[in-house]
Amino acid sequence: MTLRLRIDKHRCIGAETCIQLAPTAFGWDPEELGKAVLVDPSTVEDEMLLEAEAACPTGAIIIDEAEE
Amino acid sequence: MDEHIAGERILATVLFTDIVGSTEHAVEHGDRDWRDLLERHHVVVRRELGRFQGREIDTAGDGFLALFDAPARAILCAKAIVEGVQPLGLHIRAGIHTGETEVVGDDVRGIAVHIGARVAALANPDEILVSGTVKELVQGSHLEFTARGSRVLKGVPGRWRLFAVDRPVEEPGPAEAPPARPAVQLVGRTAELAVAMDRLEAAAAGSLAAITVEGEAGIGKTRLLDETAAAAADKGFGVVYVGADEEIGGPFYVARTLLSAPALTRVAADAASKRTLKRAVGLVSGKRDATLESLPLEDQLLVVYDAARTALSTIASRKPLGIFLDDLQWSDPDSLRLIRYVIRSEIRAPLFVMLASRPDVPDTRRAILGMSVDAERLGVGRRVALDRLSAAETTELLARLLEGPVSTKCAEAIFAQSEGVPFIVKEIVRSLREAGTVQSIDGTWEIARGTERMVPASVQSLIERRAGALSTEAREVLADAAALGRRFALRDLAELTRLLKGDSAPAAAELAAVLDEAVGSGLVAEAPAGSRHDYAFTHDQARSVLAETHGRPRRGLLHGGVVRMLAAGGDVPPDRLADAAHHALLAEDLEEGARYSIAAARGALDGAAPEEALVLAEAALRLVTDPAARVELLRLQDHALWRLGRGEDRAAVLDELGRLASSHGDVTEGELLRRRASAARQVQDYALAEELGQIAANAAAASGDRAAELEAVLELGQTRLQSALGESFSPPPSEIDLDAAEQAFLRARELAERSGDERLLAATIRELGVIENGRAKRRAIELLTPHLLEGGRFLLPPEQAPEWQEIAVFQDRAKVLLGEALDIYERLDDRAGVLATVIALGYSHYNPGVRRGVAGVIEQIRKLRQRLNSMTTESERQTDEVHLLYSVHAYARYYHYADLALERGEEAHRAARTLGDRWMEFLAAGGLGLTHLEMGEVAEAERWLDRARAAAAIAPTPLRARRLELWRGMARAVDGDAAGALERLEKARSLAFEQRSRVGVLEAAAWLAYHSARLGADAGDETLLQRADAYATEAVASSEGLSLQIAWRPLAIAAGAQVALARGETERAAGLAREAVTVMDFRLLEPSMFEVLLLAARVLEAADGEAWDELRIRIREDLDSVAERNLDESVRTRWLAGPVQRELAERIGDVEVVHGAPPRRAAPVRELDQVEAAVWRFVARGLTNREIAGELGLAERAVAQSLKSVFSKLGVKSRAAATTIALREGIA
Repeated sequence: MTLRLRIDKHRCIGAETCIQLAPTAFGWDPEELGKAVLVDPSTVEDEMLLEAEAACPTGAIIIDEAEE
Repeated sequence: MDEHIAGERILATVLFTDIVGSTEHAVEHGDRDWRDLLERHHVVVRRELGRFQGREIDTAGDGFLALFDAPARAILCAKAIVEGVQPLGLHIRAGIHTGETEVVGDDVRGIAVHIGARVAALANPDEILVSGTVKELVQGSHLEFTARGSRVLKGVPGRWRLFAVDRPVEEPGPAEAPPARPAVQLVGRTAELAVAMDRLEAAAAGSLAAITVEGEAGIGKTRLLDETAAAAADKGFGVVYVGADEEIGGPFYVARTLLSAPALTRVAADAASKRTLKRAVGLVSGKRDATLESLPLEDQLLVVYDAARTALSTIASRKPLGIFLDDLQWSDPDSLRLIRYVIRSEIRAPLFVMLASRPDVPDTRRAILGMSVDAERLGVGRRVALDRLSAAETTELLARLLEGPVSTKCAEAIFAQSEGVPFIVKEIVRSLREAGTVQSIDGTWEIARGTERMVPASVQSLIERRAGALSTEAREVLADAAALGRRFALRDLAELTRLLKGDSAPAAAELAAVLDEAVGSGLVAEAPAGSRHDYAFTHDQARSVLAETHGRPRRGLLHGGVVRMLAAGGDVPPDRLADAAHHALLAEDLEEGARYSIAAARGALDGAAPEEALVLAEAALRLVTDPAARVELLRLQDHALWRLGRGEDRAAVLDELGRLASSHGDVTEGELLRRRASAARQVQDYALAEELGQIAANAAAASGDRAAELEAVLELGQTRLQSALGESFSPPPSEIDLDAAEQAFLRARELAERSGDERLLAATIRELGVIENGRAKRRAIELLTPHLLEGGRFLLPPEQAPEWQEIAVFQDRAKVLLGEALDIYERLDDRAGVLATVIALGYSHYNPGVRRGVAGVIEQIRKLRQRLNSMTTESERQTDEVHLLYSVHAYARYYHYADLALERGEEAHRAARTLGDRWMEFLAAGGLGLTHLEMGEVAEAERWLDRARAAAAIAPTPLRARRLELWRGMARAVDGDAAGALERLEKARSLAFEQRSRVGVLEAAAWLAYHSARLGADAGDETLLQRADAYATEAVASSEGLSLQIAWRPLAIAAGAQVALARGETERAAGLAREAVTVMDFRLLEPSMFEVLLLAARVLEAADGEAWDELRIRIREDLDSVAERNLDESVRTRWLAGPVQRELAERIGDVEVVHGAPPRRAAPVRELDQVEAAVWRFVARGLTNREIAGELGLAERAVAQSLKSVFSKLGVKSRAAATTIALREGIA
């Protein structure tokens, strides 16, 4: 099972918490200064992704649903 | 018991046993041996029948039929037989049923016997199968069952539900339930268990110790007893477990059961014990005793008591003895006096007495209470009262029962039904599982929709049994009261009865007398003094079962009566509207029901309770048919769904509203369009939302309906900005068409001004400010990109770039607009509005080169989100609150706001514990450990890591195990313990290998490289340096090609540099150190990693003078900037004293940093006195004057006064300007 997640660019303020926490899963958006993007979530445990979601101060990481 | 049953029809329990495969056995063993084996089998069976008071009726070769008067004993007996014959190499099947039997002489007939035989035939080897009837009857015992489905029994009508008695089988004895160690760990009873353990220790130390446990039915007293009994057994106590019986009594019944319990007999192994016990048993059994005859009656009793005391203390003096008496509320009074006597006598032997009782049996309550108080006064006993479980504890219990995580919705539904009574939680789980209405979906237990209210059959029969014992009158009164709800006032009940029965109704005093009987049954309890109710059903299940005893018409009348009562004073008071709606609908008065539902739902929406509004609207919509009422209810439902963010559920509601629109003039096309547009926006179908919004706006403009147009253009503006009013935190992303959004909001501002709606006006102006922020940021990116170095650092500070003025123009416009919005919100005392605006204002200072004050913004966002969260359900809100606190902690930790990290981390940890959220508890504790580690506080850090370990032990995952090792390793390293550090970190690395986490391996290797390089260089330890080298090489190689953001690569490179330096390879070391810093800067993350700077500083100071000069400046800046973030002076000093920071400061020779100088502040800021500074900070954090007054304990006027002087000292005229300076200075 992997989680399907996305980043709400309206909410992202570039606090970097997700990148600090899981630098292979999240990174900087090359198109949009100061906003995060998904890089490769499969490199870390789901638990880590959930932690990134919980630790995002603006709630910008959104877990849509779990897929098989 | 023979005298009860001769020639009667009686209710009895039948037990059939049968040897499995007896023919095969006979063939295998030969006739003679088989007869011998059979004999031994019979001996075992008869022995157990004797022990469990079963009456042998028939032996048919290899099977037995026995009769019992209590089903639980039949089960225990069957278990003992199964166990007892196993050493003979025999296996039996057993079947048990309870029903009416006809006893004629020594024979027994009746359908029950037939059923028992059929049930036994279906049992597997070593299995005890019982009918559903038996299972129901032994509810509340220690027996557990597994459903075996429903079966047709040959020759018996209907289908029969069968259950297998669960094993493992414990060593049982008559009238003592074996204290089996419970499979599910005790939840939420930590404190109570601790008291019990403390008493147990006291007993073990050699003197009598007692504990009394009180609590309502099903609260978990027995579980606590079980747990304590298991602990006692582990400590070498002989354990005797006795339960009083509701049905069976008589003088000294409980004492007799206790003293003749086989478990006690077993403990009493030596001659003195045997002798004293025999005498005590004789006396409590009423055996004539020569010494008694001559004594007066009272003294005779004392002799009996003392014999029991002597026996117990003698036995305990040989071997520690634990006595567990359950359900003591049903004890006979003689036994209670005897127990009290024993407890009061000073026994100097390890005797532990644990007594459990329910406080709702008036006959025994006083005696038990007196006994507990006595014991407490004498210093031998403690009293413990068990409360219901909290929501969090219920969730934990569920997770343990179901052996997996439980969804919030599922936990909430079961908590609401069970109200935290553990027994009912278990019953509900059991019946939901049997019905298949809880399912594990992707590992999380979910509850099916529509099962919110159901009474599990076993609970129902329990309640029915209790209700059955009441008088008809009492049952009737309770059924009436059930219509009033879970809690009710005597006056209301009297009034309701009067409304229905007229003058023939009983007076309040009579009702009270009847209710006293019901209180004795445990179905209702008196409400505590000071509550506005007089009585409460002990559980809502009790209420719903009793309500059903009336027929539907009668219930309708009752509910109608309640509505009339509520409306007695003319109008229903606002806080009772939901009740009125509920009762009117139950009374099937749909017109009133709709009216009250609409009023109540409106009130709920006004009170920010959309969940409640939704429930009200949906309940009414299920019944109400009148189109006008439906239209209104649908609107409320749509509104509630909107507020709850459930855009996807709105379509169906709007479809029906659309259908009703054709027949109902009140619903306009425009309204439908606007609602549909808003629903489309909520599900992010922006194209559709734009189209619908546009049509609605045009139509409204054409018809001159300004209110409708305002709504439509606001909808349009939010669609174009792709963000709800007040919810955009940062400048809009680049794909947003700012001009189009601005156009909509400009029109909205015009319309809001005209309509005089200040709240909407402020919201509109705020969005216009946000749009200007967006323009500023876009221009900044365009203009400043050429000045950006490849590593992400600017050539010169952005504000000194020639183009900065152009950007400042947009920012100034934003500040004016946001300031205007802030003033309106402040006037309206709208906290959420103020906060949202302050956050946007933070971005009007957007400067890609400076990050100061961001933690302030994060904090404000946290508060705003808390504010917005008031709309969702309580448990979601709590969970989110924990996440918010943790998110601020994590942010603060990464950015070295140590004061904030400690504060929020501890808050998060506390909140997580309260909520029972082990994951967050683990993360917060771990984060706090790391924060303390950064400050060099190893002992404190390890204390927090212990807490993290405790949380992870309850909810372990591979990741948690790995991280604990990593964190422990870091703590050991900071403590200078190289061996310990390496052991832990290597463990983390090997766990990562096992877990196939490439990232985890890399992380562990990088830290191994760093710490062994640092410690190796310090100690001149070549072995450590070699390992550092190997790990650095590994980490550098495995980070090849991975994201530039990873911190572990520069860390490993720096470690390599340190190793090279220690080996005298100066040039290579300098090259690596420079590379480490460059690679670190590629991360574009701020601030620097101090660990990398530390190793680079060591190397460059020794190897590259030029680079060192540059790095020194860099280090000074970084340390300064971090030190300034910490507003708490003592934390700042502690942070600077951390090992890495201190060494850096010493190397750059910064005296100020070394001594923890206060942050440098602009001149005017220093002139503020303490109160003014506090007021200013709160203003900048978005508090209104009233709230600041509350925070500081000042009068509102005093706050205004202080603020005025803040303004004059800062040289500003408005709140917005003061906030601006605070944000710039990093004060907020």
